Amino acid sequence: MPVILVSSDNQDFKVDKEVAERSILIKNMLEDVGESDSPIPLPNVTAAVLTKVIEYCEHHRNDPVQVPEETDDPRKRSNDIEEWDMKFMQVDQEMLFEIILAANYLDIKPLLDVGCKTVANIIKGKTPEEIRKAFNIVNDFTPEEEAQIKKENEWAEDR
Amino acid sequence: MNEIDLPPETLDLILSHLSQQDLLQCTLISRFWNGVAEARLYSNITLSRWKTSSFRLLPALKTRKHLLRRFEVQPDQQFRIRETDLLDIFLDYRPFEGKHRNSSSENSYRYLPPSMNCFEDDTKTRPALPMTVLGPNRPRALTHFSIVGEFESGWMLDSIIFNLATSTLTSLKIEFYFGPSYQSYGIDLVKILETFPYLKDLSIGGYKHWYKPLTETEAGEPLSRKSAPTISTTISGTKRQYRLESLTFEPKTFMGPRGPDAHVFFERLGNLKRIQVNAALPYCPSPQDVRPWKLGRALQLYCPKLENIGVNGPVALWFFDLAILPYDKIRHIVSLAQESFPLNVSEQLGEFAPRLDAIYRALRLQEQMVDELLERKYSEPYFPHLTTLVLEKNHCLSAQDLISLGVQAPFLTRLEINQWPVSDEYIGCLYDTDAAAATAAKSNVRPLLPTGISEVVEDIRLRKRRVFSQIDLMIFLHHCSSLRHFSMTGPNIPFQEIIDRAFVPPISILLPAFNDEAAETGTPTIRSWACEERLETLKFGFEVSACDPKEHELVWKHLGRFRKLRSLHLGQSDLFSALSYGMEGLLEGEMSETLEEIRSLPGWWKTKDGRELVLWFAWSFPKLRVLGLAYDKWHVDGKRGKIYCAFLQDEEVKRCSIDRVFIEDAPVKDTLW
Repeated sequence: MPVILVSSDNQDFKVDKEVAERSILIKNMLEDVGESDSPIPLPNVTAAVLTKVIEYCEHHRNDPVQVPEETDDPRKRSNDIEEWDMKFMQVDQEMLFEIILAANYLDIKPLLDVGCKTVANIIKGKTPEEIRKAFNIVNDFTPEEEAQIKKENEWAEDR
Repeated sequence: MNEIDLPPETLDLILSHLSQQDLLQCTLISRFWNGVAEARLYSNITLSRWKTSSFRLLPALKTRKHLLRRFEVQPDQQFRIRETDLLDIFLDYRPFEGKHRNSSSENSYRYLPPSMNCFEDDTKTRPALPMTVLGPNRPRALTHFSIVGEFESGWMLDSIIFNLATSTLTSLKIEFYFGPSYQSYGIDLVKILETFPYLKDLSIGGYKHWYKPLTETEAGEPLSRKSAPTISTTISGTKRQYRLESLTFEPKTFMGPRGPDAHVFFERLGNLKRIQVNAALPYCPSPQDVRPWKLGRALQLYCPKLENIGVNGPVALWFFDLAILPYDKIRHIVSLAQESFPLNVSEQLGEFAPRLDAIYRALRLQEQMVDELLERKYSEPYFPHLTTLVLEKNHCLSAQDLISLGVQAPFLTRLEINQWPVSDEYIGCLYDTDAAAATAAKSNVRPLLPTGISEVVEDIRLRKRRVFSQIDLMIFLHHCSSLRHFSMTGPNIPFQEIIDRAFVPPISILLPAFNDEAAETGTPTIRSWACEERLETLKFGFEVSACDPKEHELVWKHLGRFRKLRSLHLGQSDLFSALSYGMEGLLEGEMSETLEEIRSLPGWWKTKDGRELVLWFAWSFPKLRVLGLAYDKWHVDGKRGKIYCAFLQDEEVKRCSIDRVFIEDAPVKDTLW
């Protein structure tokens, strides 16, 4: 049974219901709307991003529903990204964040997880300057502020 | 990247995958990143001497205390934290600047020496901490607070705890171990529970604390055994229940004429799911003073939701009512007690006959009692949700309860048992005899029986509990089918105890000399355990004869019956791990598909080539990742050790599918039993 999703730039996407329901937001909308065939508008997601999201959902359409896990030490699981997912996430950093935002909005937890882990992997081992460069972030600290923060947080260097 | 779009929760989710060092780098990127990263960095703080960062943390904490979520401090000789620092962090309170510490001005903060009388209520000597001086930056999101170690002033801790800005605390842990010898800390349990209505986890420990009396009104009349249930059960229905789900405490203070009453306290703890009772034996006075039945009864009455019970020390807990014996059963027991050995045997025993006779009868009576426990199915378990039971040294679990748990606890999945409970004498005093049974069995059925036997009969009649033996432990294992994790520490269980009774007439237990007659009744097999289908973790010690390879073979075969075992720990077993001793019996079932860990593998030196042993395991158990070989002084230490353990350095051993192959550490004397 196909469902029609409409991106913010008015492009239509036809997907199977099962695929669309990987998004909890869409799933709830479909339950509320019932048997209607009307297209579902997604004003926060552009066509380019939506294409990628649908690609992910198609590939993972048969995955079992995730059980909520302990969030106490997710650091342990950063390395276990599937190979397909890793290739899927090899996009420029702007698209990477767009995917994360879309996954957040559409409530697709596994995609959100993978996106966050990917960004975390980029951050690992870099200095602040390198991270700023990687993500085009502007430094809005004064040099004095920076020095003070560095001094106060010095203790975290030990482990 | 368009930062403005990224919500802080999402950035937090990204940062949740980073180590502390990486988080540190993130605090310097930009203001937005700094806010989210620091919130994460300061949310979970531990201060102790083991963490070198602790000393440098304090200045930073003073400006970031509002970020605290989980806080743990372990003050001791090497790591002293000043009380004023804690006041600053948690109450945002600093002593008034510029005045002398002991000035008598009302506005200055006075540090008074602690009261010399540790049992007196110290409100008189404690200076009132004016609420107006508490600052606005107190941590408002604190959920976990833990202080373990040495602390100078208990009353200051009270000031901190009861003045926290937030009542959202879900976990509180207080353990005092050291401190000035004249001082101990008075804990007001009810006040804690009232102040923190969302508290889920409370842990009190150390040996420097006492409990303040719970109530004044109800403490007047000492609750008698019979009256307690009737008074409280009618009222408890209307009492608001605390949300507490997990409690760790020492019952040493639910005792003595001065102490608070357990009933009053537990009445409101109907939501309790987990309880850990630590009752250190050296500090426990004589059983008569302890009134432990009060704790056991209170738990039975008020905490039916208990799922996890842990006991460290002699605490009377029981799990089932023992049914009152009807009159004819008592008669039957008495007649059993009067049977004697068959005549030909008595003749052969000669002068030993009377004494052995008595032992034999006592054994028969106990068997009879066990049979009765096994067939009984009608009484409701006290804790119908019990899944986990952990019994450490000096526990008081009785034989009757152990067997009943095996037969009737539907959800019991984890049992860890230290095989040596305290002595029989202690247990006998600890449990009250069933008052109802004593009144019901009014008829006096005590014909003249030899001493020793009459006591056993009387105990059975009055439903008195006794300490469990290895026989009872095996009966439990034969019947408990729900177990997933079973761990036993203590002396090894001898081979005789685990084989099928059909092959061992009772007489040969007492008289090994008669074994030759009994020997040819067929090849013995080991009686199967009810949990073979489900058991995932097993720790057990087997004792087998070094001279009889058959016994080893049978034990290995028995181990092979466990189909889902993931972890096998063989403790101090005497088994030999060698194919010539039947080790391939392990492969009989489906364990080869699930076994991931083997610890304390005994007798590994019997396989002449250690390399061969390891490779056999690697080949037979594809999922095996950890192989620990038992420590044996003779084969591991010194020059001999170098020869026997050389295979550990072999290339093929290092490259095989087992990640870790090693020799276990020598057992600490304490843990032997």
